[in-house]
Amino acid sequence: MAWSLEFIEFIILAGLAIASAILTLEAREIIYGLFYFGIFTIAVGGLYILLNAGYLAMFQMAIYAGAIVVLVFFAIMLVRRKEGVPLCSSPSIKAKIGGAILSILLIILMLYFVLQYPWVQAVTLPVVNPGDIFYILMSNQLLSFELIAVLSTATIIGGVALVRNDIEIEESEEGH
Amino acid sequence: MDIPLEYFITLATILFGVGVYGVLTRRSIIRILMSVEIMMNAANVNLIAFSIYSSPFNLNGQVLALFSIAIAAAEVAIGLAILILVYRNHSTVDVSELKSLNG
Repeated sequence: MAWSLEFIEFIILAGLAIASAILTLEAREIIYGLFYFGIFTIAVGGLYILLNAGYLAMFQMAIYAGAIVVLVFFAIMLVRRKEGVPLCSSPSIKAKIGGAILSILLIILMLYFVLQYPWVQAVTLPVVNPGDIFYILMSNQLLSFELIAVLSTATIIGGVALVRNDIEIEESEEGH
Repeated sequence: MDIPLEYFITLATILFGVGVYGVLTRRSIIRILMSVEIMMNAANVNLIAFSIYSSPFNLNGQVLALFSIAIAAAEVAIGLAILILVYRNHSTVDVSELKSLNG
């Protein structure tokens, strides 16, 4: 295959995604791991742009690189640790090697079966307006869209109800 | 686009394997949550690649990926709420020390 510009972009973005995903797990401080996680989500968003899904890339960067990273950042700040004592014991070398061997075996097994199928080699990408996805959301998929909205509301209420710290069941004393 | 679909599937598989490695070896709840997010991102890459390569003019596959991202955000919000609750009750986020539900 010729080294087209798209192929070079794919190589760069894929390398960035894999490297930052590994660094997310291997960074010594968890806050640096979160920083690498942000880079990982942005690289995946770049892959979406490469795949002609620009609206989804915008959504990915707004939700993952924006909301989720900030949410995890606040959670890390709320979970305070004592001076000099690590919050969590790091895994032993034995556990790391065992996990690495298991996951590499899993990757090889999945790729062995997946790559036997003759997949599509190339596709002509149409020029689509990224905003067209709105028309689908508002027509065909309206019910699913509403369900997602209800789910998000329930999540917000559930999250707030879980972490509030003044849980007292007040019983009415007037007896009715 | 002249990149074969195999390349995207391979990338998604490798990312999924990295996520599995994180879930298997890490002990902090926050890192396990981030590993799960890496796995969900791998699934999303697969969804969008299949959508684009099977029917480039049809945006329904992208809508499915959009819902997947929204559900991932909801999952992280609830997961972090549970994390803060666990830390408040047990003063640790180490999953190997949370034994109160062990049989």
